[in-house]
Amino acid sequence: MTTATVLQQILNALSLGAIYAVLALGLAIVFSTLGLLNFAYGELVTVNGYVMWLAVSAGLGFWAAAGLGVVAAVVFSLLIELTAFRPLRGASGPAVIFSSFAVSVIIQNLIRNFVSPRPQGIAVPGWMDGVLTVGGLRFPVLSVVTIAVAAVALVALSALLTRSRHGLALRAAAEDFAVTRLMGAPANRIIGMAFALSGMLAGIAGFLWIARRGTVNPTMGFTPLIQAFIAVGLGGFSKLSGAIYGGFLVAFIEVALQVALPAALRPFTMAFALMVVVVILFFRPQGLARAAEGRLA
Amino acid sequence: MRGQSVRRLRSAAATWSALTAALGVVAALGVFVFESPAQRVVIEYLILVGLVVAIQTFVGASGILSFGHLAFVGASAYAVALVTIPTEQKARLLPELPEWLAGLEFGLLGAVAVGVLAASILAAVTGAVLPKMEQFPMAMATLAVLVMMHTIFANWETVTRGTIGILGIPQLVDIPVAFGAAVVVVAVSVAFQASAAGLRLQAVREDEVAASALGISVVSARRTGWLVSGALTGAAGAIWALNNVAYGPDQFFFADTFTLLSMLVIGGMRSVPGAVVGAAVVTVVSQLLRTVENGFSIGPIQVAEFPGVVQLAIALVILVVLVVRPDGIVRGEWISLARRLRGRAGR
Repeated sequence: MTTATVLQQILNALSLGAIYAVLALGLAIVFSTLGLLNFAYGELVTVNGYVMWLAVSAGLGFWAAAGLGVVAAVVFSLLIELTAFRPLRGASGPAVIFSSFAVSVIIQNLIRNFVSPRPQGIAVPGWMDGVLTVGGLRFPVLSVVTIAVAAVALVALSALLTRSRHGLALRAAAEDFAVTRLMGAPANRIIGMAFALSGMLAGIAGFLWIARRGTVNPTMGFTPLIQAFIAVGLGGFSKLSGAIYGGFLVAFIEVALQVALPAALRPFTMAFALMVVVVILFFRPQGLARAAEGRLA
Repeated sequence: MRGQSVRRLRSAAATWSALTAALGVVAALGVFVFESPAQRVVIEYLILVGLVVAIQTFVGASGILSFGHLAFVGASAYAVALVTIPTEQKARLLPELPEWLAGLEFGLLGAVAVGVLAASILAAVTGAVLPKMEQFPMAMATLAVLVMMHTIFANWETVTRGTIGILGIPQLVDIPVAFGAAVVVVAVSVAFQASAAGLRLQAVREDEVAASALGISVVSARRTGWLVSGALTGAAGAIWALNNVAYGPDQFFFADTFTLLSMLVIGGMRSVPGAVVGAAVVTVVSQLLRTVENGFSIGPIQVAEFPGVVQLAIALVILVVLVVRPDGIVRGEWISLARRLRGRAGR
């Protein structure tokens, strides 16, 4: 394998990792605030995709459609909070996970019935499929755009979390929700903000994901959901930054396996990737980024 | 101590007898009253009871939602297929099987034993890692198990025929067999949850810190539950396979995970009776809506088909049940109800 192909695969893994990192972070924000998994998270990518598809079909420009898609993901994230999480405050963990699971099934079936069960194509602008050539190396434009968009999103989010009052409240809630409430931070507003940010990140990652695939279908949210889960699990649930490392790690494992596995075994990439993840978790059950001080329970 | 455990066993036996009686009524209706299509529903219901109770054995006792149990069903079902398909047909469908496997042609009990074995192996392998995780990471990891096994089922073509699916499994299940299997699964599940190991798992569910302070190993309590539940799911899965006779990888994936878990959540995941009630509610709702799904006509009005309406309706029922009764229809009340009845009878 030449150096150029190695570099290209690394770029490929980086751009895939950027998508996974943004996805995982969106999932982790809600988890760290509420201590609950949002199973309908993948459907935010789906909703984003279908709104983009509608907007592009209605003649809107690609970027305007992407913006609308992100807004829709934020709105749906808040709706999911209102329907699946808020009525069940204080209920047992499995009950809440399952109510979000039910919401995800509802969204999928509504799309299947009222749009179409078949995949729909979204025309991605031609220049995004192009290739930049710098010093004999070929960089796909899409990979570069993906990394850039994800980097901007992550920097903006970290600025929001560290520089603003709301961000402080959110980080405090992630550490200890009960104490944050005692300090006078309004619970529902913090949770709402967590869901809004989660929706925004899902929307951005969803846009990048769709630009890669070029199609939308009713169950398209499943793979991003799984990848985000694995990334968060690998990175460790204790820290938000863990989700970002986890996202990149998942992408590197995936790309490395695609390159290394013989053609006969390539359909099993997902199974092998999950096995690698399970082996890592066997040695580090708490994930890679362990909290500095261990939390009780 | 002694009196406690006797009382616990007696209450487990009472639960089992009550459920056996209830399922017996359903089975008897199926055998003596119903016609052929309704009989199929009875068989399916009894098989579902086995599956849901097997899943409840882990999910209910540990409080950890598992999305991975359909992988146990799949492992069992494919193993059953390998040892039951008639030799000639197997040579045609799966020509690349090793010789010792190609020649096998097991009956009902042998097939169930192989199914239990296959699911137990999967449970042992995954059980080495998963129980070490905390509650939510473990729930997530069970989903990873489901995806991993689905990838294998869908691509290991020499053994599973991939996405085409496998066929030719003999139909060995009738109402008495399905009833017997359900009753046995209920018995094992109830006995496990009344046993010392089952109580340790429930103690961990209620309070991890307090339980480990009492000297209970959280990891091994969860692992035991996972193994017992995995083996039971294998048994129920073998019965499922011997009734369905042809299946593919997508039958061991997300949609059916949702259906089975919804039965558990609607009925109340904390008790075995909850699982039995939940399976009944979802079966009835699905049967009622199946006509809507395929489209029907009232006089001149043609109602268009509405695919997915069953899943949609079940999801809505779940949301309502969870909001109104977050612990499901049968809450932890079963035992206290039984006790109250007994108290009254004694007086």
